[in-house]
Parts: sequence; structure tokens; C-alpha cells
Amino acid sequence: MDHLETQNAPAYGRRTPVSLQRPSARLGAYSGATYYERPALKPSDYGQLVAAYLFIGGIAGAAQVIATTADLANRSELKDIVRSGRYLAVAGSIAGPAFLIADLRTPERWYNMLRIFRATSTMSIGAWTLAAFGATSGVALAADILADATERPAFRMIARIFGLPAAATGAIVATYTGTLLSATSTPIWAEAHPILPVLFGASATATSTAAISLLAQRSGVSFRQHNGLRRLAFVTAAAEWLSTRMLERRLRLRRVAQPLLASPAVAKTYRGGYLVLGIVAPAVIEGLGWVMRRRSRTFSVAAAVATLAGGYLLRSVLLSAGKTSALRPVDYFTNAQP
Amino acid sequence: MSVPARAQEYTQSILARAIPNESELTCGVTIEPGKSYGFFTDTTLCIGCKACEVACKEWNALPAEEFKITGQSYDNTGALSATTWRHVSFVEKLRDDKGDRPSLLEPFQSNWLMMSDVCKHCSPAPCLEACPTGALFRTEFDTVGVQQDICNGCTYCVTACPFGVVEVNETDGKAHKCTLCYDRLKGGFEPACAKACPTESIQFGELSTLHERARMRVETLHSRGRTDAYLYGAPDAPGATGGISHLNAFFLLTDRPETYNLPVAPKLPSRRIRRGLLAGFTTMLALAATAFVAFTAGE
Ligand code: SF4
Repeated sequence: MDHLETQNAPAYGRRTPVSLQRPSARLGAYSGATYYERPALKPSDYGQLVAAYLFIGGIAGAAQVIATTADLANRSELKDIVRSGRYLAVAGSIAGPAFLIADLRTPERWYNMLRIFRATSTMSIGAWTLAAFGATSGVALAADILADATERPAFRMIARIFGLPAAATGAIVATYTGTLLSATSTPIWAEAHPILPVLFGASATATSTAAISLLAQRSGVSFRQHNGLRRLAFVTAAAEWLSTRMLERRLRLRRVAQPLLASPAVAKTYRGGYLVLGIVAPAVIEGLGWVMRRRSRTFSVAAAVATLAGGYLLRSVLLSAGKTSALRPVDYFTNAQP
Repeated sequence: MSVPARAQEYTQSILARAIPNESELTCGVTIEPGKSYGFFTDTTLCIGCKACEVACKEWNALPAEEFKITGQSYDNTGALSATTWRHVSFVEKLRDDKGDRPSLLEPFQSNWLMMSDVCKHCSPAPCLEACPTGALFRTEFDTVGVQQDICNGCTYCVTACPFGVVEVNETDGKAHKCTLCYDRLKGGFEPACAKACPTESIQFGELSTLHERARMRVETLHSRGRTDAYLYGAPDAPGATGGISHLNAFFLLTDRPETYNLPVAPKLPSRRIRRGLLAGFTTMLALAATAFVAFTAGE
């Protein structure tokens, strides 16, 4: 029986063992068969609520890092920066989770996020870090306010001590969201590892610098503070620009860049909205202010607003690129090769 | 398979109550907590009857999908979803290697490939690793289940799954997927799909037994000239890659995995966490140092 079938087989054309190499040139995009071009993955359903959280969480976390750094510099003229940063951190650690909870499909069970801790889940790591960040930031701000009200140095000390864990957790809050996206099966996010958290960190610092400068403007910012923030804005813009170069290069190299760099609506928002409005424009505006040697409020406000708008667009654009990416079987089969 | 002796005890066509350890009678498997169970889906035996899809829907009381004609061969189901936990895919070879309509019909699998897809019950499972609430858990049968009374619908498992399986149902806001008939296993029953499969394309059993059986099947097929048969998801095979050691629901395929909408080399997403967090933290540390300099530099 076995022997008969062996004899018959060649008459219909011999089957060769399936080669599991990429059917196209090395490092090229997958060009073999797909299943009716149907998605091989389920796309993420993250929309504007999550984009808002990524944006707010980034500002809050980085604001605490900046505030604590300014606090450690120990100069009385940086006081407004410290206070503004601590305010932003607390405001963000309340508003951010509100957006996250609103995005849950069963929001009334939000507390299950703190039911267990799972080190293999960036979501779980983020939830706990966010909780610790909120608590320590709250104490640091309260002590800072009390120190002013009572003029007792002990409160200043408490603020400074709690500022340290608040800043450490803030550094994670500002960047874990990049890892949250990268630690999924969505091709464009997975291939962006580990550039995404770097880009998110740079963008978080840029947007929180902008937010702090807007807040500090209101309380009449000193020349020194203003210059410090402006320098920081330049450095973060440079860091952001560099990270985007790295990101684009990587995505192109891995052949999964289409959803971000070539799909019409997203690519336009990414380039015009994020790169030009969010990074280039603020640097040019601030640069002009510097060259003209003016402490123009209008210039700073314009630059800060552009930075903030750009930062939001980055999050939103990356989320929609991820959605498209997961729906393209060719991108996934390119990403999921040995 | 011979009829187990115990089957002689149940001759009436309507039974007063369920047969204890029924799985011993239907597939020769004794179901005990603490052991690893899974599915071996042999696509060379699948005839595309969709009995598994129907059995799954019936047993799990899953609602019907919106009716539509996809135009994609006989596959009007399309994909696994929150309400479809078995999905039979149909691949029609409409062109031969030269791009012409095939003029020869092979006696085996003719110009058809059919596969009953299901949750892979990965080990380790990316969805389970991603779940922040503990709703996704590993059962005492080494399968992956979702506890709908804990899930809060964060949808993170959906993006983590490398096979596009688990989905959050917008109606109830919870994640749903194949449970490998957790309830049936607890009651000593073979999973509904495997029991319904008329060709034994879907085989349920203890994982080590299934692996052995699957390897023998590949050998048999090879010896009969079907050298394109291989396992997907068995240890050290395609599908068990990038940190995923094996799939408790594994397959025998005869074409590239992508043909059946499966990735050749899925990866465990959680492997990217440590370096990602470190990269982010280092970035913030560097920027904090820059901020310090920016704030304290002289005028
Ligand atoms: S196939 Fe997807 S849903 Fe099933 S266990 Fe693996 S990761 Fe989870």
C-alpha cells in the first residue's frame, strides 16, 4: 500500500519540502502568498483617548524630572520651574489615568489594573508605576506648598526627598508607553524597538518644557529661568529630531515603514504636523527670539504651543500607523521572519 | 482506533446522565489536572466541512456572525474573533507554478488546502503575559483561559497575540477566545470541535502523545512521497520561535505558513520590555543631566 503510493506520487509532479526562507531577496519585504490579503493580526483599538493619555502622561512624568532637577540645582531663581513642574506632575497623574480608564471597555473595573503585578506586562508595570508616581508627586507638591506657607525648612526637605522617587517613577511614566507599544505584535511598533521609548522620552521632555514655560510665563518668569528653559527646549528638539531620523531609518530598513511614511493622511500629519510644526517651527521661533535678543513673550508662547501640538500629533499618528500596520499581512510576514 | 471496552456498557441511544470520563471513550484520553493538553490539527485530513466551527458555536453558545459572502473561496467566516473560536480556512490553488490554471488534479488534497484554525494556547502565551489584571490565566490543563469576571477590556492582549486570535467583544467589553473547552475538560469531555471532527483532522490529547503521533504522521507522509509535510508549533518547529517554546495547539501543514495566514517566526513581545524600559530611563537620565546644565550654566 505504502509502496504503491510512493510509486504513484511522481506522476503528479513531486512536492518539494517547504522552504521557510523569505521568498524574496534578503531583507526585502515579504512577497509570497498571503491568505486573500486578510490581516494576520487583530489591530489595536487605541484612539484619541489613548493618544491623550500618552501625551499627558509624558508631560507629567517629564515635568517631575525637570522640577526635581531644578530643585537639586538649588537656586532660588528656579523656584517657579520647580513649582510649575510639580503642579503639572500632579495634574497629569490625575488626568492621565482618567483618559486610560475612559478607554477601557469595562471602565467600572479599572481597579483590576492593581489586582496583580505582572513583570511581563508593560501595562501592569505602567499601572503600578503610575500609582507610585501619583502618590510621591502628591506628597512632594504638598510639602512644597506647605514650605512656602509655613516657612518651615522641614517641609522643603520633605519636598526634596519625595521629589527623588517622584522623578524616578516620572522618568518611567514618561517613557514606558513607548515600550508598551513596542512590546506587542504590531509590526511597525515592534520594529521600532527600542527607539520608541527614546523618542517618547525626548518628546515628553520637550512638551513638558513647553508646558512649564507656559505656566511660568503667567507668574512672570525671570530672565534666567527663561534662558534655562529655552536651552532645554533646543536640546530636546535636537534629541527628538535625532530619534525620528533613527526611527525612520530603522522602519525603512525593516520594510515596515509604509503605514507611517507613505500612507497619505498619516504621513502628512507626521511630517507637516509633528516634524515641521512640533520640532522645526518652535526651534526656529525660539532661535529668532534669541537672535533678536528679545525676551518676547509672544515668541515663547508661540513656540511652546507649537511644541505641544506637535507632541500630541506624534502620539496620535503613531497609534493610527500601528493600526494600519497590523492590518497589512505583508508587513507582519516581513516582521515575523526567522 | 478500536472501540474501548467501556463503550460496551453504554448501548442505549439516550443516556440518563453524562458518561464519566467520556473522553476515554471518544478519544482515548484521560483528562487529569496537572497534565498538558492540546490540539493536533492535521490539515491533510481536513475536508472543510466546518463541523468544528458549528460544534464550537453550539457548545459555547456563541452568537452567529453577520452574514456576508466574502468571495474568498468557501470561507465566509473569514477569521477567528471574539465569537468565532474555530475557523476553517480554504486555500484554492487556482494557478500552477507557471501561473496557468492547473490541468492535473492530484489524488491527494487535489488543489485544495484546508485548515481549521484555533487559538494556539501558546507556551508561554503573549496574551497572558500582557494581561495586567490576571484575567488571562493558565489552567490546570496547561491551556490559556480568560476570566470574563475579571477582564476590564483594556485590549492589550489583542495587540500582544502574534496570531490575531483574542478579541474584545464590544457588546460586553471583555476579551474572548477559545478556552480549549475548559468546562468540558473539567467534566471529563473531549473538546467539542475535536469530538465533532469526522476525519480526525482535529485530535485532542496529552501534548507529549500528540507530538509523538504528529511526528509519526509526518514520517508516514514523507515515505509516501509527501515530502512537503511538516509540523508548525511543535517544539523547534516554525511557529515555536522567538521565545515561544511551543504551541499547545499545533498543526501539520503542507505549504508555507503564510498561505494559511500564519507567521513563520512569531516572537514573544515581552522580550522587548527590559531593554525598552532601560532605553527610556537612560534617555530621561541624560535629558535630566542636560536640564541641570541648562539651568545652571552662567549667563
Ligand atoms: S494564540 Fe493568541 S490568544 Fe491564543 S494563547 Fe497564543 S497569544 Fe493567546
